[in-house]
Amino acid sequence: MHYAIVDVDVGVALPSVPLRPWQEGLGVLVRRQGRPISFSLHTLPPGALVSPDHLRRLIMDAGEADILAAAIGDEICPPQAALSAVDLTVVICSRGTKQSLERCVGALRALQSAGERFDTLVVQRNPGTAATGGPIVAMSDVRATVAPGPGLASARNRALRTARTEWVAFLDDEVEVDHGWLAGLRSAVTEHDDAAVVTGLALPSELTSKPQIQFERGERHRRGFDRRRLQGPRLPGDALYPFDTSALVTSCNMAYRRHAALALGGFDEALDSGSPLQHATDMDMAFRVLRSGRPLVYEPRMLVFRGHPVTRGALRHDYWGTGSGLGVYLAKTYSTQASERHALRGVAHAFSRRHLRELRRSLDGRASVPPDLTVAQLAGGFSALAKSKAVRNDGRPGS
Amino acid sequence: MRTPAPLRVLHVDLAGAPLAQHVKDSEAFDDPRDLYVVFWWRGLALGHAEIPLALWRSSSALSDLVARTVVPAVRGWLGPADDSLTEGSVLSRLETVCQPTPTVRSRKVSVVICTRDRPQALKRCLESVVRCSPQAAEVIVVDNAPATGVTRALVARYPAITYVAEPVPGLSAARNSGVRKATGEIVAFTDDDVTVHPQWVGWLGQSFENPSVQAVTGLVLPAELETPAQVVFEQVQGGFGGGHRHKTFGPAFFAAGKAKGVPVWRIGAGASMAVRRSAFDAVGLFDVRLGAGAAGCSEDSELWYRLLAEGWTCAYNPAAVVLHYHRETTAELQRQQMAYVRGHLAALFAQFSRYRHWGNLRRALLALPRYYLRRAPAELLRLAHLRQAGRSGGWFSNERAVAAEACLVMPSTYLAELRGYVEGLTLAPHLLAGSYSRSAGRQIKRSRHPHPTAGALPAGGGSD
Repeated sequence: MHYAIVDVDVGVALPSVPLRPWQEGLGVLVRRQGRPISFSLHTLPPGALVSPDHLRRLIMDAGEADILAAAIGDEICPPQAALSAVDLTVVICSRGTKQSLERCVGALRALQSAGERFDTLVVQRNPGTAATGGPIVAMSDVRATVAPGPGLASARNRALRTARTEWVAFLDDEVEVDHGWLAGLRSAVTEHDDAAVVTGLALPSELTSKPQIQFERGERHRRGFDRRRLQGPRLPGDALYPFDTSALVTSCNMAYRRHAALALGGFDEALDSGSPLQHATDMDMAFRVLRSGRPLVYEPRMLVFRGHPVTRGALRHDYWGTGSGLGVYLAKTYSTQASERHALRGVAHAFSRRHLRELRRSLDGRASVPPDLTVAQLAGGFSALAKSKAVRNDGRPGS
Repeated sequence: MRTPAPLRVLHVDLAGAPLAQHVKDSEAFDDPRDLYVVFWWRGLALGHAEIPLALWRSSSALSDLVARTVVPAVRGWLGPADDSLTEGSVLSRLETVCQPTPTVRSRKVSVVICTRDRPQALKRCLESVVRCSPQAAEVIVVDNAPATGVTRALVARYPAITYVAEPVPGLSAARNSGVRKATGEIVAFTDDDVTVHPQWVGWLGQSFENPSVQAVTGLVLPAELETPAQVVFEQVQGGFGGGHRHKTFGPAFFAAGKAKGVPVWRIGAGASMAVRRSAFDAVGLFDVRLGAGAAGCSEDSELWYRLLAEGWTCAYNPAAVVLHYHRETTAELQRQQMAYVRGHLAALFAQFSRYRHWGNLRRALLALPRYYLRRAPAELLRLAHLRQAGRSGGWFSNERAVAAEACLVMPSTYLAELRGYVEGLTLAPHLLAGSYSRSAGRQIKRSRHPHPTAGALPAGGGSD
């Protein structure tokens, strides 16, 4: 299965899109004045020629509400004219190949050549392995350092201490930033001068296999196109807030105010033990930020494109990782935040209920996610919880 | 789980000051209550949302939330989006639809308000009704079995308002008395515990443009959410809100629901409704066996049922807005819930007895018991959960501990509803027999609890 991806703006004449003979569909990213406002997937006959009219119908069928909402949003709060500059280091915690790293750095360079100014720092998490082709040689415009261990938290902490800027953005090496990425971060920082974290949107860079398309159809990655600011202990309509922040935090694409992150003690390196769990590290940090009373901001304009898992096995592993990350993080919070235990048990129940319902829906064929992925996520969560001493002993220290 | 801590009701006109200004104004709020915000475009209520005060801080993030909230209503008012909607200003197009059309303003609307010894609430209501533009052709206050002369004295201060005394207690009897007195083509009803929006009369009138529409209801929003009981009623029990989009309930709606009991209660609320005068001639007046002061409530929905059963249509117009002052105390809320269930059951029996539509019995004797059985474990869990939440003192739990006491009203409300159900069952023989015998009336009057009210009458109406 292979889908083409097209990037259009509602204010500009729509193109006609010829599909290749092997392309069975189209992913459409819609923007309004550069701001992403909707992404939708459409199954089409292979090799079809999608005329501008047809494209418009597809867009309106899937995203009419999004487009109207964006127009109304701009009307009641016009976009800011002047954005303040951000004193920023972009940190790429790299575990991948040299190629992916170069693509990631290349997209950042394109921003710099468009006049944006920021530092770039590569933290290598596994310099010795053959896959990466040895340590990265520092480039003239990119600093490089080696992480103290394989864990993500320790690599990020190293970056927090190495960087000297007010903001530190963490990108995975598999992403490419959008041309509006930094403008998005700047508008978020201008608007929320007290924000401790800004997190952005991730969309697929390619849809070349069935698992990638399934990943994109899965609702859990849809963080939406609405800007959000989260602060304090309540979020109406979300029973899992502020404990399950996975719906709010895009691991591969977030920026921290460096002093705020350091004041909270940085990322928790204890979560690096065993298999490195990126998800647990990020949710733990987001929770601690919210718990400290600082706001967390979601800005979809801070957009990156990432390659989704290509094979079904990798996809299943990704879902398992999300579940087990949540489990590990909940177990940690359960043991460290004694006063929140009661609420956390409620979160675990709500999480199980949500996924069991999802499983029932996918068994009936009503959900976009196949049942084995939901099972993988639940199994990941439960296995992490079962392994946790703190939860088994109901949090009693020393027992 | 939602926490029923008190909320500040805030009205934001998107056609007025920019959102950023409203955000700035909120800095002057003297307490940290969260917000229940209603978004308007001039006279049109486009949507509402509960927003924690901590999030009422950034206009860009808020603007997206507001836009998302109002999109369904905007689409409803403007029709399907065309290409031009994607560009330029969307909201300002509401300018052309945000007022009732002038031709309708001449339509003669009589407003009937039933009350009993609640001069302060009535005064607030009357002040809002007389400020309506276009105005009502006449306003009739029905004083229902009053114990004192306070209502008469209050109404005497408004020369344009007609005073009618109705000695027979009960909301249905009072409304019927208002209908007999009314001379307008359309009779609008509201209660003394609401204030109406200035365009309320105009919008209700407008909805009768369609000749098959015999009854119209409107949107009921909370006037205040100051007490746990009010928050629980609005958020946990769903309040009266009928949404922000037009709805039509016609023969198709009736046919679709007939087998399981037509959900006529979805049509709206008696606190904001209007009926064509001629419809009363066709299907009769309100059933005096139902309603506050008698079985409890549902006299309005039972009338809609008759209209639908005869092939007519009812409509819901979200522009006809009233603000309702919900019951303030837990005890009042429980009495009200008990009355709702008892009245609902009584209405089902009355509907069955008139039309032999078996769906009514099915709902009364199968669906409702099943619903209450299914709710039982959750209500027990809630009790256990809250007890624990009250003990733990976390950052997150703290918030809940404060609300725990308030939440406790939910299980006890459940018990009140169960009681209402059982009392409703005992009314069945009389309602199914087609007459409301004197003994049933006495039975209600003897009930240990004072009689709850669905709207106009104070607790105790009809019991003494």
